[in-house]
Amino acid sequence: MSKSRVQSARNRCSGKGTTISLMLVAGGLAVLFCALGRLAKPAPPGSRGPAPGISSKAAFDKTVFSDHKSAVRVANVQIVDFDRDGLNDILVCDSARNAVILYRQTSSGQFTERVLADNLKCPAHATVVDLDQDGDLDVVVAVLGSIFPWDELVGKVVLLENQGDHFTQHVLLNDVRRVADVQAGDLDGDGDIDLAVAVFGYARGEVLWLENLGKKDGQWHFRDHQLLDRPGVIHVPVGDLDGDGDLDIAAVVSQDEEELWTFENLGQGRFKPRRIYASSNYDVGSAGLLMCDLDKDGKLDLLLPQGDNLEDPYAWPQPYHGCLWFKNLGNWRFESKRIASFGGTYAAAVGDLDGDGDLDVVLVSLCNDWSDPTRPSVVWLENDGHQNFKMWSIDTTPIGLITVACGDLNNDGRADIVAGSLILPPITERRVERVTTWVSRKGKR
Amino acid sequence: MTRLQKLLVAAIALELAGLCFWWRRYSRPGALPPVDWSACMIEDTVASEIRGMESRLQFNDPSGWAELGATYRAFGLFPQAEYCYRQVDKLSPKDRSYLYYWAECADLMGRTRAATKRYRQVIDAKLSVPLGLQTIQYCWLNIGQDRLREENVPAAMDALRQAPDIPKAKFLLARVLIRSGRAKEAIALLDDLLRDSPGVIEYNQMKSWAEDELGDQDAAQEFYERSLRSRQELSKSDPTYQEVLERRKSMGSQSWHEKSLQLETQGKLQDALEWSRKAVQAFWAEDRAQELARLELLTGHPKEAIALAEECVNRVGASAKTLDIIGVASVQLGDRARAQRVWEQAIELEPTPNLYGKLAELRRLADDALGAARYRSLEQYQTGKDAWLNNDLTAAREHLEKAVALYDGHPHTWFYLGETRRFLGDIPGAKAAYRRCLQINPDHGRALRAWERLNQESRK
Repeated sequence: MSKSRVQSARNRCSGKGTTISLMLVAGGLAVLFCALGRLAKPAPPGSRGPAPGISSKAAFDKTVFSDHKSAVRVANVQIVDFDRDGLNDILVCDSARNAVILYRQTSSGQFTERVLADNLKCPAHATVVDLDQDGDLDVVVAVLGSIFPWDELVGKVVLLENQGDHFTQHVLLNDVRRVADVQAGDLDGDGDIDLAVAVFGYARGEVLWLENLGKKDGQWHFRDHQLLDRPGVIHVPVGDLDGDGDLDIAAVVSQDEEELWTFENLGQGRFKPRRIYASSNYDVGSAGLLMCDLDKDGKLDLLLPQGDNLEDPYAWPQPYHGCLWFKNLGNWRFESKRIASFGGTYAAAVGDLDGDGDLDVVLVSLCNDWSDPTRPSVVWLENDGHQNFKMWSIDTTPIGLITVACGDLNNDGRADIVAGSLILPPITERRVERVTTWVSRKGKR
Repeated sequence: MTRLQKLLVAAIALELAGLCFWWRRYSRPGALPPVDWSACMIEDTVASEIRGMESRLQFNDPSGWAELGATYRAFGLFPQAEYCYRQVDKLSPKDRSYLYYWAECADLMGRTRAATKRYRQVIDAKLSVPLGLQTIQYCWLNIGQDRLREENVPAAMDALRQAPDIPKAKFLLARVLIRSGRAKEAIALLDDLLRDSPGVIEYNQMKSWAEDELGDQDAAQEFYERSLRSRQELSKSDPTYQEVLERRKSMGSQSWHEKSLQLETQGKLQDALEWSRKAVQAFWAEDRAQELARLELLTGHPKEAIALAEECVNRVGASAKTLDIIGVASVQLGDRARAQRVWEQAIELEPTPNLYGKLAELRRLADDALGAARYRSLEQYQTGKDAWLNNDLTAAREHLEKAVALYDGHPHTWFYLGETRRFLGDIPGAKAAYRRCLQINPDHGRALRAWERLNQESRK
């Protein structure tokens, strides 16, 4: 090889080397630029993970019940055939009107309003039961006494005794802190209906059962027995948890303790308490408790929605909010499983929404990042038949939903949904409604 | 240089220019993140003030960013607040209190790891802002709470132990210890807390649960009963939350309402009325409408007061306070019958000594001595119960004795009198009171339990 050819080859190699170096620098800078570009963009405010999609297995027709006069402060909704005409009605505890209101369904599918009782300061829950066993349905109301957190003795349990054309109010319990729930059942096996009571209070609360001693001289007599002293008891569902034929009680304790308790009925008014769950996350915000046989194995399970974040009016969804299922394994053993993560979950309801024979779950959100208008306020969890759940969005409005119930409103065999909103100042009442129904139908595949 | 090389050099130059632009754009504070004002739940007057702050913001002024961040944070715009604190950080200000607020923002959004990282920065830098010398210990408290939110109990305990001077940290530690089967250790902490603040509900309650865990039922009962006679609540919010509340009071129509309250204390009732009206018109809230109604009453406009109170009833239901305004206005208008009706309704909702006193006076004016005595008795009962709840047993006994002397048919009065006498050591007197309570209402569960307990003790 001649010297000039070698030189030329060297030059070519050197030119090639420069080109490769330049390419590497340009490429490296491009990669750096892209990476910085990504880094430079802060997460847009309110950004979050992907929102749940909309299922093709169920679609929903929405109807709103508004009076546009009172504030939006619905504490509880239920679906119940109150007049026993074969059509389900909607029972509402409205704490802005201090009233228990029945929306009676007519044969044409319309709802007409009837105020069953008023001057009940912040009714939190109403339980429909034939307490006097005269064949018609009475209502037992848990009266908070104050919608705002307060530790004074302002709670009550009030019976609305059905007299046909009107309801007579009887105060069954007073001089207690804020009462959040009352449930009915024969707790001492003597044939009459007793009551389990959740006294939420604020810093102090308790679980009571009221022994029915009958009605004498026009007065109802109930004797109160304390089962537990804990603050923030929200719900006390009653059912036969151990399958021995009598009624047991469950209770959810929120307000910094975050516990689930059961009270095994030992007969003759004696109960054995058990703490079956205690979260170390004292901010988890237990928001209610539902007793249902979710897996249809013949044993009553418990559903625990978690997401109460009412400490501040501008509360934010937390990663641990959602719903836990406590599967009843029998012999007072329960196995917990998270079935959904959903910010601000405040209530859960169970029903077969897609008509496939298993039980699905509906969740609603009270406190959330509502400045994001795409955020769902109501979702359903589709059950695949083996209690594996997939979350689907139902709606993004109304927001601030605190209560939900499932039941068949149009007699088509599918569960429908009713939910209520509660908004407190200084939050504005944008995108809220008192009561909303979503009637389910087959979705478009 | 080949053509390709020239092209590559040009590309490199372009990329370098881009990097310079990026550096200028993002190493310094930049544009504000948008807020969807139409979707958010903030009142209009507040929103417009925040927009004004945004437009006045100087991008190189760290205090401006910090101020805007604090405002966003006060109204729940946490991602925006966090963005502001990030911009403050880029400007390396002398005042580093933003680090604590930044951490709080991350906490409020449930990002516990990010929050801990910022609290650690505060601890490592040994900062004494924003909470003075206790700043570091508050950081440890918050780190402890973050670990609890992650259900990491051992790490939470370690962190909480670093905040020995913060009562809330000590209390949380006691709670976690009880749950961990270490009630004895918890009791030592609770005793410390009770030494300083014997009237805090939660300390007494927690001690009762701890004693229960250890099987000492008598001690558990004693502290449970003490918790019932306490009214002081353990503060659940951070000290910085007070700043949040103050900021909310200082903005939008709430500031007009606050101004009205201030003017009223200065005796400038007409000015107070004007600001109160303005606040109610901008954003209706029950407390504002009640305040306006009260001012109307004070300035001699009972009809206007009634109209405002009735609007409260229609919008958010009756409350004792609202009904009291209607009652007072009705008396001013000479309609005592209505006053009696609404005050009777009010005591059903929330009985107070004041309401019972007014009803007693109406019955006296109507020559109903029996009715007046009954209401006077209930007035004494409410006052006595209030004293009992404040653990002022001597005052409670005085009022409750007066109450039963005026009317002896109210079971709760006898129950509280029994309780008061028992706590004061008058066991025969207590038994007599419980007995009378149970004569009137044989189903009074608490009286029955107390009666049985006293009988058990006397058999011992």
